[in-house]
Amino acid sequence: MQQTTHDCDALLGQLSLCLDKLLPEADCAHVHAELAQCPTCQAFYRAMLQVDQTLRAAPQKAPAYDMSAAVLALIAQREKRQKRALGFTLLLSGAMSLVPTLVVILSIIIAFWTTTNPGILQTGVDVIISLVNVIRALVLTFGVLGNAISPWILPTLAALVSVLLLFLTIVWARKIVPAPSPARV
Amino acid sequence: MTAATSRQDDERIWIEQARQGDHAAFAHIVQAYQRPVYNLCYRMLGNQVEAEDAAQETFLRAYNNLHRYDPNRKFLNWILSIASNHSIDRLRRKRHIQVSLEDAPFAEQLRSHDEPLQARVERKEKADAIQHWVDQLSPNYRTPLILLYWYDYSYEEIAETLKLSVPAVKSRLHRARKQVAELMLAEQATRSAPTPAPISV
Ligand SMILES: [Zn+2]
Ligand SMILES: [Zn+2]
Repeated sequence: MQQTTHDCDALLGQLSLCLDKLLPEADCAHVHAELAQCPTCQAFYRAMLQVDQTLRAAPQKAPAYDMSAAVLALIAQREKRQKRALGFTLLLSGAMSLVPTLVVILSIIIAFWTTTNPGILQTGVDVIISLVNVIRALVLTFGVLGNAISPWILPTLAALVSVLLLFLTIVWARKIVPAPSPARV
Repeated sequence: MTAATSRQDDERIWIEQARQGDHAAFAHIVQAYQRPVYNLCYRMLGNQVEAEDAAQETFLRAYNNLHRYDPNRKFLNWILSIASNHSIDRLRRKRHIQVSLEDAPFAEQLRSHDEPLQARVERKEKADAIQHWVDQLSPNYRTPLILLYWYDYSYEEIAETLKLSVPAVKSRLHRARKQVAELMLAEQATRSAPTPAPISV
């Protein structure tokens, strides 16, 4: 017959503590007295004891070879990959800053043309000039620098954009390539 | 100066040098800790190939995170916690694959659960009795059991290593033992009975 005066799971939990000598002996004696009344717990406890003995007897597993060489190879491989990522980033940032630079040069040329001989490239320049006029009108409504607006506004804007792009690339590069101490994997 | 303190001093120097990117210093650390790290990985994963892989990956992660290591903490605890996290990740990935394998037709399952299983169990038991049981525990229960038996860790040390509370360690150890005992009883019953029947304990 099965005894139902105790919670079997709780009793086994206490027996687990007794196995690790973490319960006072008097308490363990009481737990064992209760164990004697419950065949279910007894079967379990016998198995737990068997598990405990087998585990205590099981040896430490040792690696078949010295792993330091393999680990260093892994580290070197990872560092190489990081360097490649850095090179790629530099290349990309170079390319990215080249585009605005070209825009700057082109707009300087256009601005130069429009101021020296207004007749040349009239149609294309008209578009740019009307754009400049829009900006000029905008600034004028705010009453600031109204007279300073000239065709040179485009090169200035392009230069600002190129500086901004360069700055963003550097920020991004620092994010993907951790600088002095490598970050987590 | 005792051997223990000079070893600790060496270790502190190696860690400091490895932090600066000195590979040779890190090789010393690998040599000093490869046994405990490998054993933990082996006991978690149950086979040599995976254990070697996981142990190497553990050291790689340790190297990359050396700047986060708190020198007031025992280095062994720190590296074992990396090994245990990594092994649990691997087990989760593996279980994913196993689950999709279990979607195979029922007949196929029957075939693989027939007699060969028993033969396989007995062969395994002779080779390494306990690993067979540990392999069947859920990953979160494996680590406390491994640290208790193979590293002689106290409940407090297990709690510190695994970032758990002591009561949580207590209950996990109890659950782990209970699970293994259940498996053991179920298999003993299967072996004594002529036809495999579901065992409820
Ligand atoms: Zn009971
Ligand atoms: Zn009682």
